[in-house]
Amino acid sequence: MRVLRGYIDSVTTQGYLEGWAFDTERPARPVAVSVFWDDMEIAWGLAHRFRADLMAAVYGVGWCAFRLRLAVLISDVERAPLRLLERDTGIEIHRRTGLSVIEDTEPPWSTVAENLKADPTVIQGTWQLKQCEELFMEFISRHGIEGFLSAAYAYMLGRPLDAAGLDLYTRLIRQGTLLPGGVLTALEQSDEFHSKPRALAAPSAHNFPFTAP
Amino acid sequence: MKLTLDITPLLEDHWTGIPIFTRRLIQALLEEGSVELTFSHQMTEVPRAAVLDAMHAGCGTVLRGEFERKAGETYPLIDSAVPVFYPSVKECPGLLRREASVIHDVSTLVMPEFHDDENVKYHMANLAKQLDTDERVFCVSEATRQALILAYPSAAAKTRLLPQYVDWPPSFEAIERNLPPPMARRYAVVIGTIEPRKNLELLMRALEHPQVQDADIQWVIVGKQGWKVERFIAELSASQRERFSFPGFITEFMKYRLLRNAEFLVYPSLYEGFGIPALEALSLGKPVLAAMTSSFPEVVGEAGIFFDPLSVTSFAEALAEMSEPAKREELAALAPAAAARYTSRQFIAPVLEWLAGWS
Amino acid sequence: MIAFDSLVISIPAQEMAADPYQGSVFDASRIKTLSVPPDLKVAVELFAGAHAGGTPLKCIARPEMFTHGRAREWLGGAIGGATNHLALSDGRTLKLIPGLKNHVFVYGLQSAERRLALKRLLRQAPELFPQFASQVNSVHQAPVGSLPKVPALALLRPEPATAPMIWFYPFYFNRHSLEDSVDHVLGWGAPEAVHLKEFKSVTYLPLTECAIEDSGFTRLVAESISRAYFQPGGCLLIRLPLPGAELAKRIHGALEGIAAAAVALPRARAQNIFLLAQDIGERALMAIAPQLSLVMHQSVEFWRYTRSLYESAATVRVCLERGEEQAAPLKNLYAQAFGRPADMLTLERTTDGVT
Repeated sequence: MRVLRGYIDSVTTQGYLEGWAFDTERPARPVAVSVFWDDMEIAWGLAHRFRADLMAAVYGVGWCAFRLRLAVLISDVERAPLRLLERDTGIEIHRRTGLSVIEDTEPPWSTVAENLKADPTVIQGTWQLKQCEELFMEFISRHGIEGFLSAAYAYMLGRPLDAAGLDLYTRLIRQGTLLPGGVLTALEQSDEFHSKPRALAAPSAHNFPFTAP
Repeated sequence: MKLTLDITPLLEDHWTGIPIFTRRLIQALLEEGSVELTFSHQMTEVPRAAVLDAMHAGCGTVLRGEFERKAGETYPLIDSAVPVFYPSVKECPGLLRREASVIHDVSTLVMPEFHDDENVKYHMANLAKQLDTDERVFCVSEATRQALILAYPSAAAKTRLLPQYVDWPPSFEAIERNLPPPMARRYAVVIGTIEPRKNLELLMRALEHPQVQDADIQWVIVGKQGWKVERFIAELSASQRERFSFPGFITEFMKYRLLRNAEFLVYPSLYEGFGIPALEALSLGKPVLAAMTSSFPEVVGEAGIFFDPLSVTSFAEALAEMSEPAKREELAALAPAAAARYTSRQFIAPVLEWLAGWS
Repeated sequence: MIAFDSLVISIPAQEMAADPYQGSVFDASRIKTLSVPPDLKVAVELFAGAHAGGTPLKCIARPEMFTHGRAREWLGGAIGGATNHLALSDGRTLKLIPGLKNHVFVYGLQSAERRLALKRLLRQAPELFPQFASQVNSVHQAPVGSLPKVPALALLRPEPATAPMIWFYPFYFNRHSLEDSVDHVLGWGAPEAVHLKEFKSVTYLPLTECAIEDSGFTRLVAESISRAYFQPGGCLLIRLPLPGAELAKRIHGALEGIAAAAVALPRARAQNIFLLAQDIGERALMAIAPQLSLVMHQSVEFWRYTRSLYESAATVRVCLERGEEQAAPLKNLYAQAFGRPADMLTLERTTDGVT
């Protein structure tokens, strides 16, 4: 049965509502959320961002935070009764009255380079995929180990799987020596990856290859 | 209605142009639902699930790897009674009873100097036969269609337009609306790569022009970089360099973000079959400063200003006009309507019409 | 001779790679100042002379960008009331402008690569060429079996101009080292004066890139050279191929072609065989016309000389490429151009030289 979990954490000094939300049945798929104050929608967006604490707590796969621009004043929401809903269905996820205002730690972006570095649709490293093992195992159950390795090579190295890689990693996965996520980390540490670093889609991105189409 | 669709263009590692066109075509046909679609590569069937996975990942590496790795594997022949659609070059024209293909542009015919010899040979060697054996020749724009029938008048009666649409992932708007503006300064996105046909050099030369120097705008050059761009950067003065950004490869989301927040798009390319970046900009409410050539006037419509792509003065004057806030607002207001002419339903209508004519 | 009313010409824009930003439409007179190949400049000058009209002749850099819709309207505005379009083609493309009467001149066919490119284009887009109303100084046609319509022949020649100073480099060939051959030819320099009238016969043999790659023709050239050594009363003038290249490279190119013919040549400085860097001017040739033999490979720009010269020359011979299938149209072309029936040879049957 589908269960939506989520929480409105706080409001920031720059006027953003922060929190998290995820679908327990499809933990990698970002949930579109709205925040209502009575009948007024005051913010909406996607719960798709990475937070290390959420990953550690195994909330979704850690890519379920949201940061939503407020359409009203910060002072209005500090004491307002707020509801967090799934936007498409209107299912209520969380409600609370009384929010703390916290210092906004997101730096302003002024250059294209800064924007690229903070692209929310890519991962910073495979360490951000730590809680995706179940996802990878589901992928393997649909496509087999070879299918997973094929996708892993395409994802990490941008090329087809070769025979040597197929042989090595199939053996390690079957032996239980290496988890599927460990394959990605191994490829990340390769000279080949270092020589041609790639932008790797985040689990919450529309084109993450390990989620079902 | 049944259709076999050749997915060879999807086997690329990195999808631009034709692979994305193919992906959109498949998507639109699947959504419409009235066509029983099968997929093929070199006249053999490709499993549907594999194609859908490739579309989800947005690259053909896994799909291609399957073919390359499985030596000795055989695949079922496609049903020769079912019409077959080639989204690009037909490698073996006339093998099957009912064939159709797409002409994206005729640049290998009219501008071969911008292509390597292998590419010219690949496109031109069988083109006459390809057209001859097609029941329908789909052209991505009226400009392409006119250019094609100028060289091959006998194909005129079987040509139809197949202009594609833009489909940003729905999540992009939801993400972007909660991000601050990407840059503090006003900027324009420039589609410019190392390819000479893309004509980035015009902008380089235009930097000396007073009207361009005076324009209070940053330039964000989007496209694949190479030695020409590096040389260009090296030749800029310090103050000029401050006005340019060359992000190199960017994700689809970053392209969306940069376009969404730009003042306008600059597209100085000499020649395009369609010019999808122009439509992308229009779909985000941005006017386009484009060359007065090929498909640009058709796609941009009234939501843009045009210039002679071989004239620095013409570009500078057009830029000056686009720099006027009132003019830019006027054009931006026209952009959504210009983009709305291109939808997924309209995209596949000619294909459905072709299939229905024989069902 | 023809004259075009209200003409606009188009040029292959890649030839302007050094100066691409002249505007898509510009005054043809600007070509003189631009860094473009010499044969293109000659071609533009040819049509500037044929342009009948008070307005300056305009050039279009890339007509293919403006064939449709608003772009075509823009072009119409830029070229004024032009009704004729002359496409200067390098063999790789043939460009039509809808709404104008289109003509074509394929220049630069001295290059084997361009000749091949044109043949390939005529085969791959057979409906393109027949749409031209006329072709200038050529009789190309689409492949057999395609549309029968062939653009009408139009002959056009430049006004004879005073030729610059011609240097006559004595011929020398060392079969063991082309580099040594080149060094000697350049080292000796040109003789102070060569009085062509003092020779009983003068044979003028212009070379092109195509010609030196044609083994039948180079054999003819080599045999002519071999004979000329032992016929001191005659003079053999060989114009070097590859205009625009460095002189040493041009000499090397000519000798390389001759070497491939494997004809024995004396390793001696010739007294009556000369290499020329440029065409001899028409007036100089007319002065010796009664004793002049013109021997041209099919790829030579025959149209640079007037009909009067060809009518006056003692012999005019055109050597066709091996496998050439257009003998009849070419015969007609040369007959019109020369004002006399042309002596045409298919090279593989030729075993003797011409002097």
